[in-house]
Amino acid sequence: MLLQLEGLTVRFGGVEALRALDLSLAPGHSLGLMGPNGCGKTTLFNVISGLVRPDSGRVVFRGDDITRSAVHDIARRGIARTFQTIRLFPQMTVRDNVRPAAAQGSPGEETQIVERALVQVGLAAKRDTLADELSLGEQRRLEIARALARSPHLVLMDEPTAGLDSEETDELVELIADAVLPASGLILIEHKPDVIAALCPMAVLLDQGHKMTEAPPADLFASEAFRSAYLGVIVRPVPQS
Amino acid sequence: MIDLIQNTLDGVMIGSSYALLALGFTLIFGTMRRLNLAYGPTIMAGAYLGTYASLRLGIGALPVALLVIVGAALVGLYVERLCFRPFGEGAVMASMISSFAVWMQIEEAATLAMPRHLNAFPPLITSAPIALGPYFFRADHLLMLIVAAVVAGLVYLALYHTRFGLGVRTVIDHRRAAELVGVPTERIMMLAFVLASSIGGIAGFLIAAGDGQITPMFGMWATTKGLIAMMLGGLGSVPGALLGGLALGVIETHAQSLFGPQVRDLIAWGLLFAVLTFWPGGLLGTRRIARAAAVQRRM
Amino acid sequence: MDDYLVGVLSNIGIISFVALSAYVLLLAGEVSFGQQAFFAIGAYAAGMASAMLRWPLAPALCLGALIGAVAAVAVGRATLRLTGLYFSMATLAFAEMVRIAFEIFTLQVDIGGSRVGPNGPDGFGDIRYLFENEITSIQYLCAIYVLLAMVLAGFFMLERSRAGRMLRQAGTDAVLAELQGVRVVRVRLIAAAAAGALAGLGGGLYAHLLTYVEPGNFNIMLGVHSLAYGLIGGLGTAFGPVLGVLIDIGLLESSRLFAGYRMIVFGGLVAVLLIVRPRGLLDERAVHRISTYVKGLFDALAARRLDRSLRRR
Repeated sequence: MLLQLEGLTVRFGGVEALRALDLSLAPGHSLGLMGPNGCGKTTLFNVISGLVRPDSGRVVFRGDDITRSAVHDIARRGIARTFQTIRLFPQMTVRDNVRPAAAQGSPGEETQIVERALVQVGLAAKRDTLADELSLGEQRRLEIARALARSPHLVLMDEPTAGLDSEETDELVELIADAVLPASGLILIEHKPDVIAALCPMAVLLDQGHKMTEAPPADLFASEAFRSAYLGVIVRPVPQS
Repeated sequence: MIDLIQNTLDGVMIGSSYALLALGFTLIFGTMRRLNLAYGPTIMAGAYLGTYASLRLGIGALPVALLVIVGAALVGLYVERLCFRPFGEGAVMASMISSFAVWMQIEEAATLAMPRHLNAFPPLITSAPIALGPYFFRADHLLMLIVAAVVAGLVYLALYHTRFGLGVRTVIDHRRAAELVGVPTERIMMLAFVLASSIGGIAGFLIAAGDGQITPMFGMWATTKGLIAMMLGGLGSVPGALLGGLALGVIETHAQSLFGPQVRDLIAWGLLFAVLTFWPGGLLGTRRIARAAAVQRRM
Repeated sequence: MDDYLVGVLSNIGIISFVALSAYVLLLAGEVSFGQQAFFAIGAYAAGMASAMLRWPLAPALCLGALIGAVAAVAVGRATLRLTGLYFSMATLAFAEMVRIAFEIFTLQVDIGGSRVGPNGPDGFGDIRYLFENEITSIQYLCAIYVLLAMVLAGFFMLERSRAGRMLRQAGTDAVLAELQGVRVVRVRLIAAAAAGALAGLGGGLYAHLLTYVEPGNFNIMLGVHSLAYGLIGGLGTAFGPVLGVLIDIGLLESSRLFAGYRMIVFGGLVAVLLIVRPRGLLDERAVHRISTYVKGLFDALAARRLDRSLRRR
């Protein structure tokens, strides 16, 4: 098991963001994570990366309990993450954004790794450009290159196609399928069903911190739980007499 | 025993001036979430205006008081425009540093206007001591306490019984939400700023009148006391500011009588340092939520 | 070179150390109003070592830097876990505590019949190492600038190293840096130690240049100025804070133009730059553009040389 979440509960003041959540992911597998806004998806990512400590429950990564580990420690163990709103070091070059914090072999080897990641996402020509001078699509690819350069065991992607048009979305999906999936496990938060269907054999539906269903995407989309989570329960109008 | 009580009473009275300074600080911090380090110098600018008028134009004490308050309010407006208005919600540090830069400006301007280090300031009332039992009170210190109580009361009334006060409280609580429901937040913040500067002007006038003098060091002094008092009482809390001011006054008076003025200042700063490192911003529960909120804000 | 110019240049060199001290912390994302405390600690430590313990200059200066670093780490452990605003206020409080402490601090010994050592508010005089060893002001000026050049060279190497990258990343976005595996707290502590050493070294140089120091020298004005130098000159390179010092001491103080209005101009400059150019004149983007341009020049030169050598065949 690559990742195991056991009974995760997170409370912010009076609100329960996650409720006794169980989840597991096998190595090399990808899992979709869906649910309406505020259902706890990003909180889940925050717990895994160590930014938020759960009130109860465990996070086990490759056999180690990382529930209370430090953020940088979890990152070095091989969990990479992208954000819903782009998060880069805007005043640093593309190459410096991608270079890992921990040394990956000799300087020559590291340069190769960074170069390979940039080539994979198609940003090699822009290696000396400042990150905030890139377009949105390029910045998204930069985030992926940054994740790839560390050869992570697990990648957490939070709505990577947000803000992209359909053509850019398709390109990004292709990139994720070619570069990320073969190399690591993936948990993907997305609202777009086709993206989930293209990349994940299994998907989980979250609603108000609760895991409602876990099923292959096609089955998930057809389920009643999916419809009511995203659209709410439809109240039948009172018949007029 | 008598000494102890006398010192405590003196401390409360000096503390009342600190309370007013802290009140102004808190009004600005509460609404803007940023520290105005030019606060003391703003008051000093008003006080220098008053001194100038009194020495060169021979104006009496009460008009001088008005001049001080108006002067402080105007300079406060300048600070608000230059150091606070241009920055959005996030740029906390920029405003703070900018206000420090303006402090440099004001201090130099004051020295240019009145080159002497010590400048006489007209007293409002006599500083003769009034005896009450075995204890002595300076009349002007007593006046300070009364005025501080009145101002605090008026601010309370303004905050809780006027539309303006309601606006201020909504901005303090959640600025974005206030904007969304149509509260004129920019105007409210500007008015709160001017109000805070005016309150500072009142405090500055009473302090300078009590001392009978004003020096260019006043700006730094006032900022220091207001800052420490505000932090002691709990950052951004109005009743906290008042309490913090009184507490600081009492602690200082006792420290001074026991150890002298230098250790007194040492303890005041040490108190600030201790509060910051061990109890920043008050209640325990809010700290974790504040951390989560900080994470959230960056996401 | 006349004495006045030597004096001004020496001053610029020494204040650059404090400016660089505040700059290192700014790179780490921390605004410190208190670097003058380590300047003071370095001044007193180095002064005491050379005047009272009769140490030579170099070890005395090293001691000043070392104690500055140690003090910075000690304070940093308590303060660096505070968020920005609280950290800044804590540095302010700490610096004032140090200044007041030096006003109380009295420790004197008998050297050749006279009392030498810190004497409370009167400060600490008779730091006469330079006189006793007949070091001229020009020689000292060279020493100051050699040290400064070494420090700047160190910064140059830092910018191209992994450590430098981690420092800037921690300063730009601490949470993101942590998620990339940067140990932000450790980076900040190391930055604080370096900053303390730089300020301490500057303080030692200062004490020996003036031959006396008093607690009033190490007030908040110095701290705010050191901060402002980086903000004006630019945070993209270590030359930024030095540029800031040049603008203030070189331009504003020394020229007759701004006599008496120096602080008003300087303060106004800071306030305006914070609005229009918050990372200073030589900010990261400007430095990037300059280095790209320079690289382009070199490439063009190399291409032309190659072209010429090919044509000769």
